[in-house]
Amino acid sequence: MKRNLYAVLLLAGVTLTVLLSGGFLSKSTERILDQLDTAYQYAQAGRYADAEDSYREAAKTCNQDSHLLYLMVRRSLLDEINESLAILEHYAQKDNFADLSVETARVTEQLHQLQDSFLAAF
Amino acid sequence: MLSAVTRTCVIYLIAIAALRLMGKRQLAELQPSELVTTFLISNVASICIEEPELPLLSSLIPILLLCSLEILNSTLAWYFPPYARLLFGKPITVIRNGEIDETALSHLRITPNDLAESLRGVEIFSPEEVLWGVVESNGSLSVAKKPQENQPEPLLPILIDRHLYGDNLRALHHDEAWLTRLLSQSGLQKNEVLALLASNTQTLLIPKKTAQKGGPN
Repeated sequence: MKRNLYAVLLLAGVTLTVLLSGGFLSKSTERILDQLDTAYQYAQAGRYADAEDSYREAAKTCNQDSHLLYLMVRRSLLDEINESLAILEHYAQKDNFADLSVETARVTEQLHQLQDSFLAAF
Repeated sequence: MLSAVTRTCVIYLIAIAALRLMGKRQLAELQPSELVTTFLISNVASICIEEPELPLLSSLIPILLLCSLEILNSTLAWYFPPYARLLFGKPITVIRNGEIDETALSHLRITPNDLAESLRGVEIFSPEEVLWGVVESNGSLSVAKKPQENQPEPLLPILIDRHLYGDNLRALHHDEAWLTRLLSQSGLQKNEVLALLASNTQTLLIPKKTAQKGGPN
């Protein structure tokens, strides 16, 4: 019954792929969320140059990880996140703190939605 | 556009591999669960090609999962014949000694026209030519013709892998006591029989584990 062996290997492969994909997505989004959190704390502390660097770093991380994330989640979700992250560094100024807060909250929620789109059971 | 081309090629290859792995060559041989799996795989594959926004994994994973589950399901049916009967159904006799069983036809929701068409498909133009006509679980009609002069009578299945064809047993004017006697003469239990076929003039008994192995898969 070779086919049974193939089926078991296939099932194992599928399970492994799902687990690894979920793991990568979790790690990636958590890393970006941490960077956003750090950046926002810098902005709150008045360290706008550092905040700008952190936001830029978050945008770069998301852009790089998107090559793999496109295989796992809807393209439109990722595109929206990348667009939102791209503009955050430009809001990291003293006069734009309110807008920065709103946009940071928006991106954070989008990242949580991204996690849910893959990890939710239903 | 490039992603559409890539996705189409990937999905095409994976769908073919999945269907090939399931081991059926013609649609007509598919059991209902396999037909459902085939439809599902084709639908999932086409959705992935039509919607470039959807991630590739959201099609690849279901296709491969369906394929492996179908193989494991059919293995389960192999080891547990009652489960196989639940999953695939059982063959139903519609013609016996030239007479059409109208109750069976209504149970199957097959009209006499459908039956006549199926008979013509196997080059039979009158049900009187039929010794035993059965609608298989995949919907196809199998027919054993009445023997012509000097032709041997066709063998009818009596016991195949623990499934007893009671109506064939009665049609040959035998009962379970006869079956038990026959098996005990051969030193076998019912669950040791791969196939027992019989006619009015001969009997063929194939025990399990001594049947020749089939060809390579």
